Amino acid sequence: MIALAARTARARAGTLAGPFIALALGTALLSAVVLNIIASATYGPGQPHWFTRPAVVVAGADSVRVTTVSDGDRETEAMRTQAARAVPPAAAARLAARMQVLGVPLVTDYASPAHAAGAPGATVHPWAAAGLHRYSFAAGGPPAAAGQVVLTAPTRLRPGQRITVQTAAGPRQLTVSGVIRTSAAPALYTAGPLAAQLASHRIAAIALLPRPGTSPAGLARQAEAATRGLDVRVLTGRDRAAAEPDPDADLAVVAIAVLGTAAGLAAFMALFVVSGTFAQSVTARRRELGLLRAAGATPAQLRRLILGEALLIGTLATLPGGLLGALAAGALSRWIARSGVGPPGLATHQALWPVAAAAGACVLIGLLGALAPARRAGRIGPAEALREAAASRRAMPVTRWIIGLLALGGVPALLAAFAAVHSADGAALLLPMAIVAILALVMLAPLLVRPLAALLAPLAGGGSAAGLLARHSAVAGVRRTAAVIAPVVLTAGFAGALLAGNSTLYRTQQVTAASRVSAPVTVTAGPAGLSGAAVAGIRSAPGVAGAVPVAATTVYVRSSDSPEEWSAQYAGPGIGQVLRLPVVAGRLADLTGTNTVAVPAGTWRLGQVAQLWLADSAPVRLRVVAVYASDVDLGETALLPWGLQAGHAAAPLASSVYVRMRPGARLAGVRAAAAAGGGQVEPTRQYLAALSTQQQRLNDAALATILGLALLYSWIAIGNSAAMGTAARRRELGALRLIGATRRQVLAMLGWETWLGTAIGLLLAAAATAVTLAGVRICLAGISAGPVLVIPWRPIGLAAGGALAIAELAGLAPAIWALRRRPAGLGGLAG
Amino acid sequence: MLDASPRLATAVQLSDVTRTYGRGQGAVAALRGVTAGFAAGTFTAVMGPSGSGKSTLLSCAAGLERPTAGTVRVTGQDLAALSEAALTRLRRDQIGFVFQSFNLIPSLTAELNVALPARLAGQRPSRRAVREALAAVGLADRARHRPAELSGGQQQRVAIARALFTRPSVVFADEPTGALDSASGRQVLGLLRGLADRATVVMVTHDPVAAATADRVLFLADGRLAGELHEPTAPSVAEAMTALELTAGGQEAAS
Repeated sequence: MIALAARTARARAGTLAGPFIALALGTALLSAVVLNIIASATYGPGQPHWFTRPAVVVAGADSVRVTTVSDGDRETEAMRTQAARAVPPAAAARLAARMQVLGVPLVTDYASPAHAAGAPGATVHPWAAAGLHRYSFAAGGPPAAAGQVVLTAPTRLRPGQRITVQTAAGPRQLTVSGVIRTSAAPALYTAGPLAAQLASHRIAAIALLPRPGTSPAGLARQAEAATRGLDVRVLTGRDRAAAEPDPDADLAVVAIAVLGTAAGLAAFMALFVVSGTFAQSVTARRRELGLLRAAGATPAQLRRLILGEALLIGTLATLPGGLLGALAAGALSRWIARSGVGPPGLATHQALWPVAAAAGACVLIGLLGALAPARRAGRIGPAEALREAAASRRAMPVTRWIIGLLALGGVPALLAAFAAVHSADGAALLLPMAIVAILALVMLAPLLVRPLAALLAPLAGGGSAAGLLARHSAVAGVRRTAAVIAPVVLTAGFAGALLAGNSTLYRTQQVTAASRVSAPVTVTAGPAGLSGAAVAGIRSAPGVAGAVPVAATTVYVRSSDSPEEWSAQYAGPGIGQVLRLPVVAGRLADLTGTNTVAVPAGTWRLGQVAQLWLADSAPVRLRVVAVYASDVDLGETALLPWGLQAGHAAAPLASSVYVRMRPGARLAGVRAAAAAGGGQVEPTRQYLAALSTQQQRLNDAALATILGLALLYSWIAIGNSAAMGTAARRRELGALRLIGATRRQVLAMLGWETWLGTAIGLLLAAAATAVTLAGVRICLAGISAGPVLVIPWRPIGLAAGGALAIAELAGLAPAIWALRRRPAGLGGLAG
Repeated sequence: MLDASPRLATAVQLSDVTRTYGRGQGAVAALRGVTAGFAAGTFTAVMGPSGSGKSTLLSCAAGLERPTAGTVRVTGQDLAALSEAALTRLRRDQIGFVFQSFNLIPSLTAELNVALPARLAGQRPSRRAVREALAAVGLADRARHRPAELSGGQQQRVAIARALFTRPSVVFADEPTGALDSASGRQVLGLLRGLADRATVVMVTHDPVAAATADRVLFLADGRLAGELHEPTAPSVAEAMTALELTAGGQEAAS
């Protein structure tokens, strides 16, 4: 049967072009996505830039581990934290002693936030750290005295100038002693003692310089021996880069999540589209398949014929598809890097196995997609060859009923899930909800074609002959119409449900979060943060009733058997006066000292001891002193006491300060105090709006990536099925011309018919969006600010309009081509 | 001879019509200088061995194809002078077609199929007129059926009702009984025979029994007119055809 499949496939190139294109593009899309997932998963900081000269770098631990033991099996889940712990003083002392014996020079590197207006860089290091990488002086020389600083080019500041440097200990007046050029990250350098003091003597890393006769590996063994039992990392070679802060590491995780979702959606769409195109090709060949049956083929042989074709076409399609995917992977990674969804340096490497895996998946998708059409081919009787069978009688086969009703049953289940989640985590349910709603509608579409076509009749050609033909044709050829509808529902449905659902959830979250801040004014920090001195300055400024510093950070919480990242804030005393939190137990005023925490309801109870990890991976045990409702913006968000920050960062720095003013007071005093600390004053509303715009942009870019890939694919699918639909009807079009329809009337009929199918698809997509939004509404019910419905009309309109335009274009182009000849050639009259 | 009854107007007139397919050495002449007239209110059968050019003759006469040389006049109009759109209008208003493969629109019911040419012409035919047309071919009770739900003979009768609905002056039929059993075929031929009272009927066929229902039979061979029979009978037609095929075969053997 495979041999026969190969022969018929060649003869039937026309009707099989559809599945071929769908599978080739599916392979291309999946390969490009998989190549980028691998690039993101293996994304590392690459070569070291700061620690280029040392042979070995010793740095503090930077991961959290959760180990579970079940039935004697130990399983450990690790997660890299945002920052690293300091190198313990004991390790420093032991290393210093061992290296002195070995005669290996070492450099102790300190890093703390610092910034000088007009110079790049946001950290200050000891001058000795400049020797860890190549540099040359652009001007001046090293800092000879305590009050001197070296800057990194490019800067207009020149040696001898006195500048204000915002440091962790407040503003310092320093004199520029020199400016260096280097390929390492820009930084400020001061004399060793000052840098150590600004970092509260918290050691960022200890670098061991190479010594002739000692290999880096040997030196690393020495370092490991010296620090045995202490929580440090001993790094050599490329790994040295792991000791450098990498702000983009998080983005690789974001990229993997986004691409993973995109791949899942693409595979789902591919399955649908491929199945649809195979079904169309079976419909178009009913007569031929009937003839085969009449010639003695068994139903099983026909099924094998269709599956054989699917295997053959799937395999052939992977070649151009894989090639295209490998080419498109680079474009995709450039988009990911530029849009901010992934790390800027993301680059894919050509590799065969990911492409082969994607190709294998597509061959499988092809076979799965051909299952239902193959079953239908098996049911074609020998008599079909003799009958005009364009109007298929059974529009709803059993499989459609089963899948459609199962999916429909999933809708109330997911609505219940939305109600149970009741937080921003509902975002995770959007895709399942959209899939279930769309699946149900697509599967049950044949039932809805007739009533919806009647409903839309006035908008589809009205009483004209073309309109009449179009409506009858759409209703009679329910399968063909359903084939046009399906990709439209997929395209517009996913765009509508995901965009509107996400925007509504996100906007509601933002609005709710904004409504919590009762302080009218916010001081935002510069690159170095606001020091304790700066906060004190703001607090004592004239007209200020209260000033509460906050610092955004991360904590890691054990969630069943793996660590989970929560957002958190170090909150200064008096946080209850500037934030309106729905506290259900305890008091925010008790959030003091270094061993307290406030958490959302659901994980811990008041008075319990919460075990978690701070951003630098240090484990802490904190007593729960306040519990607030796990509202849409507060789920997985912890509040930490201000005092806990010391020891886990170079200095307790605020990322912003919420300020309450005395009635009638002017802002001038606060402005001056903020400026002195390197910050600036903004109305809280404006500050929060800017913050949310920034996050919204990333959110939008992630959605654009997920949907963009799916849309690209389904648009092509729409064109594909429209073109196939027209191609299968050349005979009918010819007959129309023969009985007196003008070329224009035939085209008008096709145009109206496509429009009708697309319009029904758009109505169903709107229904899927509405159901998803209903889920979001249930999810957000009862929160303080109430759901804020947002429907991003522009991108949804683009998805829908694009679908219509492509369907019309693809449906009409082959008809125009076919009709350019005179009618006799089409109708089979000349013979 | 061709205008044997000068009192009757000529509905379709082909004058020295030549139709060639392809170009240069590969060119094939399907018609070579055929001159033939079809008087109004007559029923003519066109016969010939396969490849003799009978379907091309029909296509040219109906304006579905433009001849390479020569002129075709339908109800006095020179088809060469008409634009594509005007030709379509002429077909819609003056010409009815009946095909071997029926060419009904599968998505439309019998009554909508019958009304379609009129609707395409921008008219709104009354349901009664449509029902009457269907009743005239004996299908009053099948108005709401789709083609797939009708037998071949019923489908062809719907096609005839459709061809007649716009009251055309000429009806072209291309092997109308070719796909039917003999009982259905007889029914269809009876309908065409009765039609000749109000329209000119030109029918291409290879069946001597079908041809015998016509007023006269034109014979084509190798793209040329090869004879004519008035008041034909099935045996006389069969005899003429056999002679024709023998000559054609002899020519082939000689060349």
